Amino acid sequence: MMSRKQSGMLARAGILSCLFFCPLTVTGAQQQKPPRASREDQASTELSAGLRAYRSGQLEQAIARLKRAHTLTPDSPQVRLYLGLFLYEQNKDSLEARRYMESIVDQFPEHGDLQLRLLDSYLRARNEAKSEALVGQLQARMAADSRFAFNVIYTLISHGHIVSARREIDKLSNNLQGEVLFIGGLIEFGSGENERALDLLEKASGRGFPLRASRQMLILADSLFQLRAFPQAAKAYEAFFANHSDSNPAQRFRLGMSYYGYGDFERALEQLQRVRKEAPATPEVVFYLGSILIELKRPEEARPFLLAELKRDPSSYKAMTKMADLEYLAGQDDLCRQWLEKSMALNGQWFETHMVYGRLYNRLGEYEQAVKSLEACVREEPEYPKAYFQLSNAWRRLGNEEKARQYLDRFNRLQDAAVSRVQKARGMSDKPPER
Amino acid sequence: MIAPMLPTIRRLTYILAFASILHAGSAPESQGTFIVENLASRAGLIFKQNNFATETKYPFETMGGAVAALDFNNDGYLDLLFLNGAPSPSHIRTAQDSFNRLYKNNGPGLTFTDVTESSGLSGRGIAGYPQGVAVGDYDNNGFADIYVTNFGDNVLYHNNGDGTFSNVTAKAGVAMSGHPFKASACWIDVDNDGFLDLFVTHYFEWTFKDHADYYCGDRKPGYRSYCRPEVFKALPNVLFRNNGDGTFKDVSEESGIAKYPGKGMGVAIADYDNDGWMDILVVNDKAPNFLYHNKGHGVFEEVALNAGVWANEYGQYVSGMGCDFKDVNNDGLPDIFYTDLVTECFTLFLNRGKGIFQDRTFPSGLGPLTSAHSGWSTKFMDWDNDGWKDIFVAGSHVLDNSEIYSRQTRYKEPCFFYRNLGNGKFEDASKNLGSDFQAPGAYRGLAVGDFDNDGALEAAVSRLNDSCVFYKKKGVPAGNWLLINLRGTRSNRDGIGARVEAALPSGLKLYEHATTANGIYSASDRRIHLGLGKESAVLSLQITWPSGVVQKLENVRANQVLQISEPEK
Repeated sequence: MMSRKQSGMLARAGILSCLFFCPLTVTGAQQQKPPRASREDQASTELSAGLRAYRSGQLEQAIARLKRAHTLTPDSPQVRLYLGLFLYEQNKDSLEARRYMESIVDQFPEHGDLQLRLLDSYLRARNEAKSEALVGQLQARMAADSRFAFNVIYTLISHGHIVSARREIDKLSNNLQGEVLFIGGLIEFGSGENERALDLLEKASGRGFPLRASRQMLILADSLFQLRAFPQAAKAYEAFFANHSDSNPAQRFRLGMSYYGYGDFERALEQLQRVRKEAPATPEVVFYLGSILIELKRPEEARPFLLAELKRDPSSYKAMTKMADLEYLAGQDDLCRQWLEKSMALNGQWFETHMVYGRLYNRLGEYEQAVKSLEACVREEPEYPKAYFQLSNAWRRLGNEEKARQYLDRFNRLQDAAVSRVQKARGMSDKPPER
Repeated sequence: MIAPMLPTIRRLTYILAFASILHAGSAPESQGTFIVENLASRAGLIFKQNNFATETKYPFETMGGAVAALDFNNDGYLDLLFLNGAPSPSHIRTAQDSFNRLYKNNGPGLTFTDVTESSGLSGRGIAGYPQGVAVGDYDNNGFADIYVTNFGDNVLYHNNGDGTFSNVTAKAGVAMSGHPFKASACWIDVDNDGFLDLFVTHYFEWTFKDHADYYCGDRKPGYRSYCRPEVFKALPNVLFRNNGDGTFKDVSEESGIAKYPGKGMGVAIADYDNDGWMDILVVNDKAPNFLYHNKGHGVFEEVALNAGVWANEYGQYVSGMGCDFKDVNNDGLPDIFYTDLVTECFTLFLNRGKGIFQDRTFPSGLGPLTSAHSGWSTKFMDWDNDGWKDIFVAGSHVLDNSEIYSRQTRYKEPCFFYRNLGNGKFEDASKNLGSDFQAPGAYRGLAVGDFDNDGALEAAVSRLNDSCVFYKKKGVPAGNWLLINLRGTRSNRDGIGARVEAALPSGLKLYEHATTANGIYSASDRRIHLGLGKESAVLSLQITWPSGVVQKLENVRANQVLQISEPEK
């Protein structure tokens, strides 16, 4: 079931599917025959009343009328059609609704709402065979009507039937493929299926959706940012900023953080400096400016920013740890320790505090303490390569070659993967800008 | 410290009351900042390196640029050799624009004469793209010999003692024909037998045939780049043992050197654990460094990881370029410095004793000072004669089109001078050295020495596709000094590996050791230069020769060139 958040996102995207959001278009019962006292006449009367009730928003009354009509004319395709559709609308998991729709679907080959609802019903019931068969039956219509095809695919994606959807997507026009993938990506994102979401969003981008100049680009950028797909997020923000002059500092902050996230520190610095100028009160902007400058190996330039962050938020344990890092880099081991103690008192779980402690202990030759700190670090942040390198060093000094080697191997694996990610993000797979 | 592993009989101590004085220099006036001038053209050093760059970006084109400072004619004045490039693919040099250049120092006045043709060092007719140079008297005949590493076969030039050199490569057996791409080389007596052995770094596996398979950079005009070394296969370095009869034996396998494949660039030597056996440092390009610990008699184990110099403190193995291996903090233990590329920071490891080094790049201040720069050859040198070795770096990135890929990167950079403040910190004093020093270039090789024997060091630096530079301090040298010309008798004649300890009246002790290898591709003055600051004398000067002989001199006056011969018995 789609959440309000997802719906909102889709609404903003302006690409709503009628399947889920549009009211059912009621047709077919308007051609009323002259009243007769036959069962058919009574059934027709009930049908008309039922449709009127539906239009006035009285779904239960509409269903009751249609059920009476069905009792009078159990074989009437129209009664079965509307009864099935209304029951589905009342309860999308209704077996009864599915049976009614199933019984007459062949008699209404142009009724897209019916087909889509029946498909949704099958998918909800995880009836793979029937849903596959129905999609097979719909091929001709899908080929003739790309919007209908879009809705079928959308339905498949919304139930996680990515393989089937992908098969059908390939038959769609490029633009619609991108659109449906984009929606699918947002749905997956809203459902917490991050990997799948990212895959679909990247595929949508690959098919040119959303358009670079569209406002949907911002939705894409924000989604990618939250998915921690920083290189892609940065590209989406860049496209948005290039086409919209109304960008705000919060968006630019996220662009800067996207650069930071994949190691393009120069660009990150540039963006956050701009944010700081335009909106100096942006939370943590000075903290991240300091952090970026440390990454750029300009520690003394980082110092005033970190001190500013501590002035803004005296309880920022992260800033305290960064200050400890600065003192460590400056060779001021006592000051480093003092900052670490302050930070640790506020948050004993922060991985970076353990990391700086570990490095300090290694420098001082207190290797057992270093191991304790660094193991705490990797408990909190198991994918942090540098911690494993320090752990390896500590164990080596303690004479445990086996552990030293294990941690070195782990470091090498994580570091290689991290370097590959950064190189890919920076488009360095076939060019060597860093050497 | 006297080498504990050496037999007692070798630990001879000699006290010499007087040292022979070859030259007495002028007394210094003051220390501090100074200006340098590029005297190259005025001094007659008109060499322009030609790297014969191609659109196909053969990797050796952006390497090379070797420079050597050597006194080839034993007249007491350092001469200069520059190596050139060569046209691909033959690399056979037939024209002046591809010839190496040997410049003879004319003595006082600091001018040079091109003696390339008469010396036989032009490289005419030799197939090979020059990379590095190593200088050492391998046959102990008293004349400096020259080894040239090439892409192609290496060449050993024997100094005939009459101003000419002979190509003795074939006889010596040091061509290294197997894998073409060599980088640096150095002379080192690995087994203390009195004959210099030869160590050569292999860059990586590369042939013209392979090159067709590689394309690096964007596929549009002007964007093709030299490939990253990660693309290529690593190779082990090579050690040749000197048989003492003009021939060498490849002992890479039995010495242990062959066990470790890498992508060797710069090489430097020092006895880092003071056990009496010279050790070898090789910095690799985008691969962990090698520290070959000499276990004795030229048998090595690679200990970089245990020593803590495998990579920097973050585990990052950088684009290692040039290196040097000297005691920079005057604690008697050789330290390590190496250059790399922009964002990586030139790295300083201090030797903490017991075979352990510590990365002090940031506490020394060098991290932030160097993160925006790229460097090639380098050398520890006390340029201000204050008793603390400073650092000279030849600046430049490796990619001649690096700027189109990275806003942070500049291909041509100036040279850099990092002044040792004596408190564990360095400052970037480059900007204080005057306008000549700010000239950007694709700097590569660096040879340092006292070319006019005035106690102030000069630096000769090559630039790809540009004229060489020759930096000399302007005015009277600041700080007292001592220049020591060692002559081995039982040890190798150059005294390479000899350790010098100078105790000053202030209590400060200075440590040096003799070597010609520095940075990358380069060879510097083998004489030992000591800056003495305000001290007018050295209380005691102790030389520990590779033979194990320990020689002491007392009350040595400052500002002189000392000739010290190893006692025969």
